[in-house]
Amino acid sequence: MARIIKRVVLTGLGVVSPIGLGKEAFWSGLLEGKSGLRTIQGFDASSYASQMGGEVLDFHPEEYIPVQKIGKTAKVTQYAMAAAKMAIEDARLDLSQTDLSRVGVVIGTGMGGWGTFEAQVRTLIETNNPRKVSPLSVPMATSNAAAAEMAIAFGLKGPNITISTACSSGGNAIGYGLDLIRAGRADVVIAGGTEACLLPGVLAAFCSLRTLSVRNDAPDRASRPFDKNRDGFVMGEGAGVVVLESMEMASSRRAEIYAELVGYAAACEAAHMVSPDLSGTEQARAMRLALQDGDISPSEVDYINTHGTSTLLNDVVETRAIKTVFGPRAYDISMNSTKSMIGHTIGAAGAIEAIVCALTLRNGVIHPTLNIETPDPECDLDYTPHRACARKVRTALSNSFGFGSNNACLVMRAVS
Amino acid sequence: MKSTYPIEERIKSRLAEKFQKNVSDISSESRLVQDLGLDSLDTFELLFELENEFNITIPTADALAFVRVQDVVAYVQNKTVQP
Repeated sequence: MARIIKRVVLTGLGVVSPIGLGKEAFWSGLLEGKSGLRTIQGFDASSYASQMGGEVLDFHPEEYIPVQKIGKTAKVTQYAMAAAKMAIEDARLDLSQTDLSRVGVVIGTGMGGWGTFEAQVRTLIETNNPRKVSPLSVPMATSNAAAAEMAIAFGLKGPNITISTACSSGGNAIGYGLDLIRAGRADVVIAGGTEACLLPGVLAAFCSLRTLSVRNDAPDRASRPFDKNRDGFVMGEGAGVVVLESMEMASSRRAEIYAELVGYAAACEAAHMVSPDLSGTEQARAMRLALQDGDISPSEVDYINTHGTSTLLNDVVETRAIKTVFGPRAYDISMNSTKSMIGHTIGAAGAIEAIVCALTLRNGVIHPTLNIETPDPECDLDYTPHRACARKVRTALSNSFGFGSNNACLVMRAVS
Repeated sequence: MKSTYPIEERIKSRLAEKFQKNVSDISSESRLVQDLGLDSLDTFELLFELENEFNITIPTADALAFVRVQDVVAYVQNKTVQP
């Protein structure tokens, strides 16, 4: 007998972002075109080529995580735990009535607990004494700390997986969550991405790679995806977590459904550590695979949340790839870049942007892309410049393209 | 010669801070695992703090003998006594 492939839906959303905590604040910030980018406050970045970031301000961990865990978890973990709590509450998922061995966790992160790592290495070097390195360093800094602490906090005993594929980590995490439910390994997956990488060492490393904007005099105008005068991305922090569950389970517990996650593709270009294939062929391949996975024809897509980083290469290559997949219809698709407001949250980006897709399907509004002031002739699609626009969206595509030429695409559809 | 009192108070206040308890709730007879709920990671964290605060070294083998707060106090006291 043929195995029936399970349908998977999103029923809960949680966001920690530079423009707000929780889906309401985040969504209204996006629609207003609010920028969360400013001069870095967390440390003195005045000697760095890029001095800006999307920091999460007014985050109070005690509102989301057990008080005894606060000194024992890195910020990257706290953001994820906060977003998970919001998502589980949003889904009205009663964990006391759920078989917790069937609830999995998949979390994406690019840099993981680098914050703890940097601080401890600094101590080691300053004291030249290995005994000054905290015994909590390992449990705090390990890449899978966020997923593990989430499981501990909520008692989630299903598969517990951490995915690290740089800027596509969050997209791959949600896609892998889809796969786990389809494969029957879990009924519910708490999936998302998290990052807290505005740190001296990480910033210096990205500055040396010359991928960050140096428009330091105007941080809110520095992330300008698809604008001709873009000069790199601005690094952001945050987390996005969703509740994924089988359609059966969502229906039986009468959960409110944001969208159906119909398609996912993970594809590697196998070519370069930091540069995409310039023809866009490889990014196009990932988009097509995700559409095929969801049995969706390119003509059905009416919205794309772009990877849209504001780097010279990404935006032009992504535009090329979209044209390759959608042909002349590419001009009729609404697009935007969430990174124009919150910056590039690395491992959280794909998950936060999947949440944007879910909210767009739900609300029928496309949030704007900020700072498109001088059109780039090579980026001539409808990126929703300046102002939000109303549009009923049936099918949304979310692109995430990571270093290591690691591409992840998700396709979501409205549930009628 | 140093009095045990400040060392005992300092250790108790460390433990109280760690477990969100009042110092008055922690007695010399309190057992670290059974009464205060220290797990292995908590224990290593405590050893780390004691080593740094009192500038001593506590080998893991020695720490295995700690059952009650008073064992820790006596150990630290012994290690910090000037020769």
